[in-house]
Amino acid sequence: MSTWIHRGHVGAVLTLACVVLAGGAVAGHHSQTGFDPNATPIDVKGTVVEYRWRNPHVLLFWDAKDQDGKTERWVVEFASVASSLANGMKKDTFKVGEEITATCIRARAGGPVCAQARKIVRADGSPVTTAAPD
Amino acid sequence: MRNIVSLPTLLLVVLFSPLVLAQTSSAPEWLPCPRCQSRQERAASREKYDVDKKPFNARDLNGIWGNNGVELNIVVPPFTAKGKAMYDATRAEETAEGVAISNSKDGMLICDPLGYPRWFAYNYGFQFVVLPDRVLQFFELGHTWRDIWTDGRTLPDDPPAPRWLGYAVGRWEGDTFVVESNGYDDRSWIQEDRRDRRWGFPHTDQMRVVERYRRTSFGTLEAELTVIDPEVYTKPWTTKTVIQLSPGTELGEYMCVPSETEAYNADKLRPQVGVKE
Repeated sequence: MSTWIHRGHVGAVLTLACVVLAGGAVAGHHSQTGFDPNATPIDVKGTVVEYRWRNPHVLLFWDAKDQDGKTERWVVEFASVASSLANGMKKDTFKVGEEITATCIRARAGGPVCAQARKIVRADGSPVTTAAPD
Repeated sequence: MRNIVSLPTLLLVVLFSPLVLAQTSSAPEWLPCPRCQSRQERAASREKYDVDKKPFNARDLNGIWGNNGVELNIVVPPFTAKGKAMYDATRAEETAEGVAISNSKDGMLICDPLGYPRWFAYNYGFQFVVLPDRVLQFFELGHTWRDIWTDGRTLPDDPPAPRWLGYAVGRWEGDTFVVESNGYDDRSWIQEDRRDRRWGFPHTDQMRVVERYRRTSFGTLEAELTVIDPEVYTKPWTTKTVIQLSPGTELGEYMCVPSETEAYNADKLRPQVGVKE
């Protein structure tokens, strides 16, 4: 398994973030706290271990190795199932075992939590359509 | 004896068989939930069902309306002293490091019912079903409903038990459907504070709500909602809005499931702010 974490390319990522985050939702379930939206994103590359297609928010878990080679289980959330469908996600958008790279704003607490995914790409570099939490 | 079936008869039988009908005519299909449509799909549905020009009966409210609720008027009336204290008490808890634990005082995070009028403000779409003695209002979010009684009864002076969705009666004033309600459970919020979701807008069990709905086209519903709770707000809090019909949709099944919600809280919400399990 090839995994790595490094500083992302902020400019390109921010452009994509505008697309990803432009949900236009009126309401939301949760107050998104514990991260700095202006922090520099990092790329977290690893292997999908669970894609939880459930409410209140769809979750994706993947294993990635930190700089010391230790495996960490990362998590990122998307919108509710209904809003995710509206934004083009499906119950099989991610498959267990596939390799992804998520460009993340890491939670301030420092754990393997992708508080905001600015972009997710597959092994071949193709972007994955996702839906930010609403 | 031989049974002889003529060719025209055979053709008729085949053509009108359920199987063939299902394949050749507009057989009923499963439709997306109102919130599940993309903006493009929503626009296409409204065009397909010709909602802007279609004849309509102003007193027929049947249909699925909206897809995500209505944000209440952001100009919130000033609090009373008691109201301010209640509002302050809704503030989310913080970690030892001073990080707000999401909107931790919000009952939604443990699947408490949203109550009313929060279900007006946040619903993923709702469906009015008009019956002879009441109007049912089904909410997609939470997959529940309230009864708006139209059989002539009046609101209870002293409700025997508080209700998350209150006690509601409706009547027609011309082409405007007026709903009045009381008897609310004071554990719900009127709405999360969308300026900063770490807080929510409280109410007492003395809150009354008045709603006015007027269908102005096949696809459009004017709505006005007024919250009256003098113990918390120094003036009535009125929101005026327009809710669009969501044609080509049907309610799905968005239930708030405690086990799912707790799994989300444990696997994402709490780790994000550094709460140790």
